[in-house]
Amino acid sequence: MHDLVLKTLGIGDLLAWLGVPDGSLVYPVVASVFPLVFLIIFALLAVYAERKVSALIQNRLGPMETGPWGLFQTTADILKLIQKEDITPKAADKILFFVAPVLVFTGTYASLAAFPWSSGFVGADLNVGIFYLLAISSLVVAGLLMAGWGSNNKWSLYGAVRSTAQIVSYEIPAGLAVLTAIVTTGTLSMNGIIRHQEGMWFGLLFQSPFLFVAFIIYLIASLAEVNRTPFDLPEAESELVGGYHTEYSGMKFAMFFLAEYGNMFIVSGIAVAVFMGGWLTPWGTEPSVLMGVVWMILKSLFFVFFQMWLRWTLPRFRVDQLMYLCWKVLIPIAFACLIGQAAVEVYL
Amino acid sequence: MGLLDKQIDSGGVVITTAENVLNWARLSSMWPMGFGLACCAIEMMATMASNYDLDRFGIIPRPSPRQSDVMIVAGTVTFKMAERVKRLYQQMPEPRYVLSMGSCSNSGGPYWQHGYHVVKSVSRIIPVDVYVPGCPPRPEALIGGLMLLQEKIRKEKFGVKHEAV
Amino acid sequence: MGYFKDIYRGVSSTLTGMTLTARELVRPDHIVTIQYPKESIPVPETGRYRLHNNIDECIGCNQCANACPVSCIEIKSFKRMDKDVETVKETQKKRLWVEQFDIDMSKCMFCGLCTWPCPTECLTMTSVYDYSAYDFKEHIFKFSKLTPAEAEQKKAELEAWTAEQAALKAAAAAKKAAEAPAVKPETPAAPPAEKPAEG
Repeated sequence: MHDLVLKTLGIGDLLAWLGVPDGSLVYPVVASVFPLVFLIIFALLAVYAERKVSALIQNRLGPMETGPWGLFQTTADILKLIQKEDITPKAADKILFFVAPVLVFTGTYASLAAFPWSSGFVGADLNVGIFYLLAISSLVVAGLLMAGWGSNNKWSLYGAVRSTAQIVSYEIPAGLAVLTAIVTTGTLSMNGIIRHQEGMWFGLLFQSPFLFVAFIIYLIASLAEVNRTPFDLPEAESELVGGYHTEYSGMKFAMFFLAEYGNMFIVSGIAVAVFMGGWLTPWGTEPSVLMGVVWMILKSLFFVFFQMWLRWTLPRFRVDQLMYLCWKVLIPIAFACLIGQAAVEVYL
Repeated sequence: MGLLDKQIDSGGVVITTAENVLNWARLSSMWPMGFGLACCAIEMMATMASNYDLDRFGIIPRPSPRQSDVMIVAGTVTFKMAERVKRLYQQMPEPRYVLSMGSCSNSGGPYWQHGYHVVKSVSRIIPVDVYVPGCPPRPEALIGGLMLLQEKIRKEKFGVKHEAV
Repeated sequence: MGYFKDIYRGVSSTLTGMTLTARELVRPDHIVTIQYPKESIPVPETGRYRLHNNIDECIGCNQCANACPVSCIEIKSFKRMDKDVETVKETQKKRLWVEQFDIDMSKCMFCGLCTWPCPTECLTMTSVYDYSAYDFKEHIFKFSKLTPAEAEQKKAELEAWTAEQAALKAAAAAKKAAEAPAVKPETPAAPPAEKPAEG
């Protein structure tokens, strides 16, 4: 991938001109900075978009004063968070407290390694791509638990434990839904799944009712994975002050923030790649390498918007309702879809 | 001086010193920990709601003192609450500011003479930057007070601690 | 089959909610924000905000300070000499110099009870509501126009004049006692009772 990135943007030539020898480690390092840059720019715009979308839904204007139409709002937020004092509570477990935001961010950033931007643009086209993506998002759970326990604060602990229960439970319907699609495509590799959807309008979505229901289940389960409303009990203000990030200030808090928005993008990306044809055009043809990136990002952004839309529509679930939904509604239906789709595959 | 400090055009891009940029960042994104104690809390909520949106200024209320910049003390501060006010103030990371909203927190308000349970002004417990008068202040008055706080932040200098305590 | 009915209800209510929010999202004419300070709505005529005292019409009667439930008005006044007595609003007479008229707006609770007893209607509630300050001492509004020097001077003049008046009266009384024939020596030629000190 790094050859393509560097070639398209001309940086490979620049580095070669500077005298960096071919095959040195500098090339992959530079290329891997690009997802990071994307993540940061995306978080910048996503926070702004969230505030504007939530404002318009609530019949008000969002940020307006900080630059024309409030465009510099997130920049101001980040600059301010950088200036804040970094407080570690005296009785907090220093190592856990420090590592937690790092781990949460790492889970997000590492997912971008296997993210299928385009046919040529994949960091690592693993033949277990989708499995890797589902697994690495679980790294976030470890980070959350560390944050909750390390803060030495009962609210943080409650929030972290609830969050862990939620994420771990909802990984099951998410995995089953994705498995329903894998049954059709026959391959776990991300680009393989997308290539299988060539020629289909909107990918696998409308191929079979089981796939459609599986898609809906994946959407709901992925909302729970990223702690978004209606599943944001771990961050609920009236319940838990701030949940697992109560005790974090300044840049550590900014890390959690960044990771949350990054995660939103990644799960939208997975939904798009598995069910909606990824970087293919909506009518199923294969576009050029750059256009593939554009299509991928556009489709993912639509689902990010969908998540924001859902956030400002629904109130949040109580923790027992949340568990009921997962274990008694989503998992049986996901199993049914899996078996149904497998039957369709075998007999049709 | 000269060109470096001038605005290019009104409301557009301003080229300026690092101090101004940092101050601008702090004043454009003040996250209050709305400490709504009594009736002024209702007016504070009204200011944050749709009719007089405070999110226009980048002000989002945060639940935790660790993530907030400004503490809006809205309402009567009783002796029982005073301990908690002090504790939460100490939990806020610097740079931090305090805005006293309403007569009760400004100077004890209507309870100044006979209120045996009221702290006569929250400035006796924590250093206050701006006082917003009113009982309760109109949302526009609170917005005016927050803009006055923005002016104060705008004038801050590097390396000078802005609070005595 | 309450299980399936629940699922159906969940899905349909979510969809209803989402259509509602989507509709509000694309309606810019539904935005209700009043962008203060660029735009603001007028306050009602009878709205009670910052107090203002038109000190030229104030007669120093102390009614407003008595009426205030929180005692936030402080008035200090002293008597005017006869030649300084002025008339206000055709009926009220200003018989006092108002040396101090302080209203502490940080204590005020904006009830408006002070405006009702004012005989000249000099104390009014204006529509000024946006006057935050960096120190709450700036919210003590001093309306009196007499400087301390002027007040001292007028007090000194008043004392002198009162003493003069008392002396004149004593002289007049003595003269009257001397002129009156000593017909009834037991009739006490006492001077008439003194006028009450307050005007």
